[in-house]
Amino acid sequence: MLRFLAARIAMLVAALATAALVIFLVLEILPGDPAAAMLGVSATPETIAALRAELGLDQPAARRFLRWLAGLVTGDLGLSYAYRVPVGGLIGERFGVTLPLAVLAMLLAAGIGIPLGVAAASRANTRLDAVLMGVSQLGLAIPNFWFGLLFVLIFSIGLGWFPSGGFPGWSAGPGPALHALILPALALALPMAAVLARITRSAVIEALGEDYILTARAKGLSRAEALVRHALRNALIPVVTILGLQFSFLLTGTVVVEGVFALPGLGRLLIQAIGGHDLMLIRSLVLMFAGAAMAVNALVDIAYGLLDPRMRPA
Amino acid sequence: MMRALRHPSFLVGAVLSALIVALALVSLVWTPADPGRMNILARLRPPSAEFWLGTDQFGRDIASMLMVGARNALTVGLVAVGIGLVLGLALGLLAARADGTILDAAIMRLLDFVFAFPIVLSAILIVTLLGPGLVEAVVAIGLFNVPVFARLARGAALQVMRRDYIRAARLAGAGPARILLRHVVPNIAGLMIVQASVQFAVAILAEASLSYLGLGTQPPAPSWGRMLSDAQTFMARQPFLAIFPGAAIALAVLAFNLLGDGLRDLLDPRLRERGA
Amino acid sequence: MIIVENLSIRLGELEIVRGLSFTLAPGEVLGLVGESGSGKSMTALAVLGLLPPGMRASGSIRFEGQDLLRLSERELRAVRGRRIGMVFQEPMTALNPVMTIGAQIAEGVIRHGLADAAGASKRALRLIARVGLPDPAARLHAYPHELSGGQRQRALIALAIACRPALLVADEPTSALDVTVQAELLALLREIRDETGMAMLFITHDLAVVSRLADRTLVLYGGRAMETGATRALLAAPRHPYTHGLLAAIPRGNAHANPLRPMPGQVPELDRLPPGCPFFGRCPKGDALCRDVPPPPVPGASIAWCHRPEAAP
Repeated sequence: MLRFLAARIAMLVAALATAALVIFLVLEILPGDPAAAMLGVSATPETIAALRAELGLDQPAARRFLRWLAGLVTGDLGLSYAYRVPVGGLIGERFGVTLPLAVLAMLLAAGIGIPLGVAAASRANTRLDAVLMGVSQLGLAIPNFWFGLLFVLIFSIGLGWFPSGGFPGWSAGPGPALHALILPALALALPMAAVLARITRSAVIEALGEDYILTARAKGLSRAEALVRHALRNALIPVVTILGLQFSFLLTGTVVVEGVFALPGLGRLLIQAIGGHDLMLIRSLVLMFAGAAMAVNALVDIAYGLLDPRMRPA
Repeated sequence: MMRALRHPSFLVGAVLSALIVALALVSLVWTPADPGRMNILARLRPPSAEFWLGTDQFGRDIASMLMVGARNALTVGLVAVGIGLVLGLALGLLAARADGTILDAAIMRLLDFVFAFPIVLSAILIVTLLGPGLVEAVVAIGLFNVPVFARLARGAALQVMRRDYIRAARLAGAGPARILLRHVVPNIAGLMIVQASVQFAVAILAEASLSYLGLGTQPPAPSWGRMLSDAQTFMARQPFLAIFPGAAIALAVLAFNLLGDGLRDLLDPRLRERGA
Repeated sequence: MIIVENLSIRLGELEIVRGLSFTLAPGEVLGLVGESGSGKSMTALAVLGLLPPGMRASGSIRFEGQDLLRLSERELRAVRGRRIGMVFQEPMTALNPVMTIGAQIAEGVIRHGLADAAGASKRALRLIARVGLPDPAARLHAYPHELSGGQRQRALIALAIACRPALLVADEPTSALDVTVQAELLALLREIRDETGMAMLFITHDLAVVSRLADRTLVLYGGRAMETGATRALLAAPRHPYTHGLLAAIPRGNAHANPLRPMPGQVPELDRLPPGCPFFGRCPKGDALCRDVPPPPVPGASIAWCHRPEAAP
């Protein structure tokens, strides 16, 4: 197990390094000089050169890449062109919004999708099943930002139960912060829950048809006990895979939904960075998003080993 | 054919997609009003006999904009899926032919890497590189589709190539290109069509997201995602602004998802035998 | 101890088993023999009340003073695993891949309140040793994929006898295994029967297996009884042409003296059976009477449901 873990982590690090290189190269071939862009048309060549030196832009590309890589470890990611503050601090601050948002959405999606999928499977081919699957088709089709807009329309503008946007920060305690995050998290979670419900349903139906379910029933277990004790754990294996794949969609979703609810998170920072052509910020943010998706995929592989003894290396 | 008509997902999906395609085609020659004409006197109107689905903050006719938006969404889906399908099929077949070689491994690892990048993120990178715009967004979505089709094509092609008649064709002296085109491609076409329908829905959803963020379709071209982003400012005064474009997106995605599901069931011989 | 009377199993219009009756005494082994589609596995599932959805059983299955077909689901659960154990056909798939062998054996013991977790685990260890798995302490924590097919079947037997049932139903427990492993497992089942005195309903398509284990044999075809009697007598002098054909299809002894004769024809679809004897059509002796009238049981050295039984030698 330890060797497997080490190998998987090594793979992750290699993938991250490759991602960093690709992102760096893509942004490197971008035309235009950020220093000139920042100073505007009135800048003299001297002031531009001075700013270039200050930002480290006069260094060769290879050295700047290595410095960035080192910075990824130490947290010193250079200065944001637009904000003129360290990128590391900027990202750290916004992290406190996006991470709880993503985790909350993931929990809601699993908490809604998996039980509904199990319910549909245990009543497969009944009216309840048909209704649940019909609803899940709708959930798949509705974009998360439209969910967001509808929630704002209904719960904020209409009923006034929730703020329509903004974030009070964590300093006032978790109450107001969670209150501000619940609608965006739900908007993110519903399409994911629809996917999870469908996958869970088919995985549970498949598991219920296995011979070991008959063995369990022959031991004297009820249908429900056989489902919970025997089918569910086997069915969770494909569900976890999809959960991992969905995480990368979730990250993408935060970019959009943070826009809907005006949350000061990483996603909105990324959109602002693109608007301001803030390359230092863009490259670190894009790497963070890609890295998070890759890290979750690695976690899924490790979770496999825990769920399925057959995948466990001897 | 009769079976197809009795399959509920296929039927609903086919009817809805046909409806959207029809609206998009009609918009080429006729819309209820000029979707670009602004009318300060008729701003933020609710649905009425004159403006079927109301007007936006510039007094433009929502119904007309949605029809032109359908054209936009379908074009995006068509081009993005086209890019993904053609490149993905080519790469997948190439990898299948080179099964087990370094070339196969290289292609598949490269595609894994592309796939690990969330779709909107790669779009953001490309848009940062080339500037925001519809073409850039479509290219980004299309590239994201490549690994999906390539993996599917490779797996299916490998299965087909293990069959006896392919071995027979090879022994009869057919070249690899001929075998791929004459024997493999027709056999995996059904699978690819099903996936194309599903990816079509994914592409419409992705374009809507990008346009909502301002990275996709640029004004004044009407786009459902863009309309939603404009609606946000005014929806407290006119909720319909936020409802119709979102419903249009959901309906289009639902249509092509159901169509794909239905096609999958109808084309899957295992399900056919069960008499489902 | 178990008296099955007039058991019929239907799936809609289709009669999978029709009017089957048999009895089983404590310590006795009854071999239920038939080709696939003969209804033998469904008979086994009917005894446990585990027929697939849509199938209905009628008649009666009297066991320890109650009719199993009239018990509620809750009452059946108290019988399943506790009074009647079951071993399934496929050792590769009948064990849950994500649970340890020990936990799967102990589960039934705990479920029926015979021991707490620690006690059940101890009992599982003893059972693993009893069914002859090497290194029982390690097997207790092993997962199914770490065992060979024969070892898994041993584990399934341990699981089925964990609560000391009075009846063991075994559905082709050895068919998926090679011949030497098969022989070992049959010997194991015989030993366990001798030790515990439990009765056994042993389902197989293989008369050779029956000859090694079963005291009495019941031959099924198309969901109906063909012939039943003491195994020895039945195999020495089969009276039903179908039993005869089955026996001729077994390779044994000198291949020149007893040339192997596969039975002509195929098992017919259940909905295409003639109104008379289901074996009509493949039977070398069949005539119009056989086609039109269900044959009555004809007593003799064995009981044969046949209009034209072989005379006793």
